[in-house]
This record gives sequence, structure tokens and C-alpha cells, in this order.
Amino acid sequence: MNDLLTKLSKTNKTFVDRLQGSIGASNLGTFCAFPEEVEFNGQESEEHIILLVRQHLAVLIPQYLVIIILLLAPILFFFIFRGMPEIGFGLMFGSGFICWLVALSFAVDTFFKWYFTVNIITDQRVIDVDFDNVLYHKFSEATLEKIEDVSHAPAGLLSSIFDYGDVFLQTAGTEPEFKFKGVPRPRDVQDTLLDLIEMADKGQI
Amino acid sequence: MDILNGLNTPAFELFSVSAIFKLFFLVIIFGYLVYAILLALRVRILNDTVKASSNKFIITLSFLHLVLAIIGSFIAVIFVLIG
Repeated sequence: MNDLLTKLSKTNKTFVDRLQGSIGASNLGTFCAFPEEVEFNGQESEEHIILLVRQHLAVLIPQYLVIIILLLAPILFFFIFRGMPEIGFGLMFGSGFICWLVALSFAVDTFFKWYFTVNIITDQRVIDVDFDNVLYHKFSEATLEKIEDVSHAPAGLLSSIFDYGDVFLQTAGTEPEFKFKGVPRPRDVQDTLLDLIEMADKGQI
Repeated sequence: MDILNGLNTPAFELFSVSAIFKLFFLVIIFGYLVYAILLALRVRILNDTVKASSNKFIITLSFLHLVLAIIGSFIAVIFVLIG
């Protein structure tokens, strides 16, 4: 990995400087440059991961709110059931307990979706893993040569506050567009991709 | 004679408010359990897709969540049934 970093540093590309601060960041984070101990299915032996990005934690604010509501729901059940003499303590407590279980599961589920919805940029290709629900996940990849256009769009108030946005990759032919949803520092992601595409075109990587 | 008077009275009300709530919560618990199992299976698959050093933590968390879901559902069913 150090050899690759040295090699990339010699090319005077701006993305290397932009990524310097994120080198060695935990692979449990949202923006991790040159991550150690990360592999993906189908990775070639001489292929190196340059950037690993996940959704910014601020994207998950609606999910945090749902968890808080679920944690507070037993209070609501208590007030509803208090006026019903047929409902005993067991059912009242049971309903509250179910809400807490669902809140816990929702939190774990949100974490797993965040963790496995990952975008990886290597020196050969781009990987996009989307974990939308328990019955479906998508693993897409495109080589750097096939990427024609890269753009980013920060949208909304929260994205301006927390500096995150969507990065769009247009690939050649009839292949679908890639979308990195709600990733931090979208400008740096775009710059990294454009520099890598240019280097791949010139045969420098 | 008192026993004969109560012959046509059902021992419990099938469509009482309490029974409806019990049925509703039991369905939720069943759905919750199925979801927890599916989540654990999906995590196992995704663990092979992207491998990282932190995946051990993810697998442990997934297993703990499943165990907690099973035990929690069991406790919830008891509370709901005793009403």
C-alpha cells in the first residue's frame, strides 16, 4: 500500500493531498483513504483500495427520530390502555416491551444497512454495494475506463451543514448510472475519481 | 340450577378488546422474529461480499441481536398471553 501511495504522490495529482488526512482512518468510518485490512469479493491480487466511503451519519437523522419515537411509544400505550379496564398489566407491559425490542432491532438494522452500503474506489474500478432491505442487496462495479462522467450534488439543508452529497457516475453504453448516496466530502470523491480515470486513460495505473 | 343458567354463556370472549390486542401483538412478534432471522442471514452473505477487520464485530452483533430477539420475543409472548 505504501508503494502505491508513493507512486501516486509522484504524479502530482490533487486527490492525493486531499486524501492525506483520511489515511489510516478506521474502516468502520465514513471516509477512509487507503484502508488496511479491507477486501471485497472479486478483488484482484494487485488491486488496491484507494477510498472507502459510506453514508454520512447525518443522513440517518430520520432513523434516529424513529428510534426515539419507538423508545417513547410505551408511554403512549400506557395512556391508551389506562382507560381500558379489560387490558391488564401484562398486556400493557408486553406492548411496551415489544416497542423496545422493535426499537433495538431498528437501530441494529440501521447500523447494518449503513455499514454494508459501501462505495469502494480502487486503482482499477469502482464498487457500489447497496443494502436496501433484508431481502435485497445490490453489488455493482465498473472499471475506471468505462466511467465517462462524474458529478456531485449536495442537496438540502442538512447536506450544506454537514458537508455531504450524492456523487453520480455515468458509465459507457447501456450500463446504469452509479450513485454514491449521501457520502461525506463529495468534492474529494469526485476529484479522486476524475484523477484516477485520467491516470487510467494514460496508463499510469 | 345456576349451572344450567350459564350453559349458553361462552367461557371467554373471543372478540374482546383484550383478545384483539393480544392477537395483534402476537402477529407483530412473529413478524419481528422472521425479520431478525432474515437480517442475520443477509449479514452473513454481505460479510463475504466486503471483508474487513471490523466484520468480526458485525457478526457478533448480528448473533447477539438474533439471540436477544428470540429471548425477548419469548418474554413478550408470555406477558401478552397473561394479559
